[in-house]
Amino acid sequence: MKRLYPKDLGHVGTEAALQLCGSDTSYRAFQAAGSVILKGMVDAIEQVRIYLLDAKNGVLCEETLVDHQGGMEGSDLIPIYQLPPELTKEHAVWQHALGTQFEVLVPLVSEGALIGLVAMVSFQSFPAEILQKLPLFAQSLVVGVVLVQRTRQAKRSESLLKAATTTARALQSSDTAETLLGNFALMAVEEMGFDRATFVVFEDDGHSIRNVICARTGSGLIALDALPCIPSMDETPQNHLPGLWLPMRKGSQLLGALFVDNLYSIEPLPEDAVQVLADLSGQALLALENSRLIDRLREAALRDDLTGLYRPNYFNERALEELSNCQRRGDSTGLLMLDLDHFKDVNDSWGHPVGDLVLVRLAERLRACLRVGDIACRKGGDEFIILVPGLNAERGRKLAERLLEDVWDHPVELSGGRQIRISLSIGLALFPEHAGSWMDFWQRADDALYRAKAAGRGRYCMWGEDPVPVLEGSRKA
Amino acid sequence: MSSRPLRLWIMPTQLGSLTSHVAAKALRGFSKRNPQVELQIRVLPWSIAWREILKALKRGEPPDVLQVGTTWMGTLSHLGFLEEVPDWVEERPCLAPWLDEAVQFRGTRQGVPWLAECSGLIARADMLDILKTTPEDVATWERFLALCHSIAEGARRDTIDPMRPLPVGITCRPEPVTLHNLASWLWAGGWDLSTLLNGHSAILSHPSARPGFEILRDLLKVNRTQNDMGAIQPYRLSQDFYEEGRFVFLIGHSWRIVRGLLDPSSAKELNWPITYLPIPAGPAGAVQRGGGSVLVVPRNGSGGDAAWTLVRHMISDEFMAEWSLASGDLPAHEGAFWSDEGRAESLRPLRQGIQNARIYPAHPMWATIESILGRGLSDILWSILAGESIDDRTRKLALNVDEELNALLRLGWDMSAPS
Repeated sequence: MKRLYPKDLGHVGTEAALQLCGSDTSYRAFQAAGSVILKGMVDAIEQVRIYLLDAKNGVLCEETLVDHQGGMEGSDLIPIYQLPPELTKEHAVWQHALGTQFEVLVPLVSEGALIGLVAMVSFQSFPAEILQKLPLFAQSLVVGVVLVQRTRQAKRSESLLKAATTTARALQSSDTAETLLGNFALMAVEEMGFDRATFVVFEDDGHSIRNVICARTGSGLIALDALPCIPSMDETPQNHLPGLWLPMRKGSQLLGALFVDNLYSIEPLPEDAVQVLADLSGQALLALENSRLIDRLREAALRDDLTGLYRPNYFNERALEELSNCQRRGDSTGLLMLDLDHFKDVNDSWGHPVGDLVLVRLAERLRACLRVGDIACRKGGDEFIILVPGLNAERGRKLAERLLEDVWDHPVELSGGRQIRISLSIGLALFPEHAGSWMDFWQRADDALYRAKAAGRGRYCMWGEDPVPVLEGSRKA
Repeated sequence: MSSRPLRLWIMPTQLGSLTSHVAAKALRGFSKRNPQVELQIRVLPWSIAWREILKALKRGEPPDVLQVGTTWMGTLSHLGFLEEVPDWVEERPCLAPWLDEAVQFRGTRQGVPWLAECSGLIARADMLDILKTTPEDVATWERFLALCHSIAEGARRDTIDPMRPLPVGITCRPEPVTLHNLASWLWAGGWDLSTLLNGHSAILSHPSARPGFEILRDLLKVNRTQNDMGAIQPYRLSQDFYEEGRFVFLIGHSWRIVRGLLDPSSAKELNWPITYLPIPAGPAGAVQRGGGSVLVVPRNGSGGDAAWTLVRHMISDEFMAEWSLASGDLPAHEGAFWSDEGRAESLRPLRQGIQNARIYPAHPMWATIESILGRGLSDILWSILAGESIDDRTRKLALNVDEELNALLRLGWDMSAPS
């Protein structure tokens, strides 16, 4: 049976383009356009499919499939390289046999570049005069396709902008850097629609990880038990993986990095997301920088200039906090008071600079012997005080012995190979076993120190017990 | 009447746009027993379903009951999107242990297996008779290849002649279905994806993938597949098989055979009688790829007990009788469908296929892994079609795939974080 074709193929293209411009969703737009093409071809064809080019991935994505039974959302993908070059490069209409049917592929070209494709299937070979007219049909259709593409882009940009505004507001109301980064990660997931957002904060060296904050769709902020694997920030991201690293630099220093991705949903990342995220990251960067500055100033204010141990004011604050934590936990806390034996002799014999060096080295040994949560403080002169959460009598004795031995076993090295060995006296009290208040606790440890010193130095004394000599004979200053 | 309809999202059966009518018909019994529930059914094309479902879940506006692929369960459970299944929903055991495993997550059951399938060779029974072929002739790669050679000798290539067909329809399109159809061949060659994904940098470039590539190369060669045939859409390829008789074998799905068994009048619609055969055994044995669909209730849905009552209905004998009759889909649970004495013998190969099938690993990033593997496999087959060497070009392409997969796996720092 001879098939009839319309006289004016350009008109069919224009009508289809009008459908593309007139529908509220692109799904309906393409379906309506496909139907117009199918009907406009006066039953000459069996099926119409319209594809748009995903230029980034080099794939033509089917938008709609319409046949005489109806239409449905398209699902087909055609990699560009699997199509003949006369179609993709020369933009020529291409016909081929499909079993007993024939398929013609009509390239859609805008400003000299391929932007899409219309596939039409017929039971008969397409006549030459129709093939010649199809470029005109395509030209008319392209107007509508370009409009749909621009509308899609505009809608995506609008939604991204809205999300960015909400995110910016949330960032403004965050009071600490940690909250701000947490809010940013959450907003990136909940408002901007990414599957995951991970903030990595670096140490001052620009590569050791200080902190990681991760938000995940469906779960909110999550605790990670593995550190993110950070690529080189100059590395080009993998083309096909829907993820993006945004480094946050101040000058040449890498302060942090944000990774957003759609690795679960495989939804492509919105094209303008990079710029929006970069702008928002600027705010986060500023907060991060301020927070670091504040941290540094705060640390400096809390620590003793010479030894780097905490100052008494801060120590007292922390001690009060710890005592209330200790009551809540129902365990005990230890307080160790330390005094250098014969420190006056060191100053008198070697001079004050050497005396200062001895104090610095002692502080280093204390740090080496203590756990992360223990708090050491220089009370003044050659007196030190240490708060040890969770300490009981047995462990307290062991700790005091270890401190006395460690400090003795690490003499202070002076120029010319000379050494000064140091011995300590330690007083030890336990809360709440020995005292019910901070004042009493302090007093008990001080009393114990007095007894240790009075008994002959190089000893420790647990409050209420006799002093225990640790450094005896030659091991005593 | 409840204030809000109960929303069900499903994907099309092989019947395409008729799926919603079939579903509405099969759900009449549910509506009759639950007149207060207004049902709203949406049919999502498979290719966009994953993204649409994730979009709805991410926005916190999911439907009340969802059909999902078995391989999607790993992700949805990991992200904490799913409700745990109440004890009263399932009354009968599943057909195979892997169906239960597919819905388990950290000791909880997060979905109800609904439909089961396994890959196989769909063959034109008339041609098998003419060729005097027995099931043993397609039991191993070597025998199958020898049979394909003899079919190819008499085949016409200049036009389609249903009485002088080509041996086997294979397409190289970069779609998940290409991976689904060809995974069994790679597995039968010794390629073990689950193990390789778990800490190996060589995945598709692993030496164990080579026998699979070799048999696929040989099949493409014996078919003398040209570029235009390699680029055929999988849907079109099946039309070429069913409507035009272009091939003796198609790697695919058993739905038409099942429909023919359940409704002999539908078998008459076929131009040729067809039969199901297992994928031939390779050096590592015979491996069928198992898969199917699961019904889940999203955590943020508002369906409550009505949602689970709907799920319970959709796995019932009453529903499945109607559904399988129309769609050719196989129920995932034991029940009247499988125990019917009249058809048990005919269904035996399919039942065995499902019970012995292997499934993809339940990886939380499976959708991305699948898309990388699907695209990579397509590139590899395309290079084989172009006559390029397995040792050279194929290996390079496989290494590219592995680089991409490893880059992806390195990004999985939240894999063990709680949902």
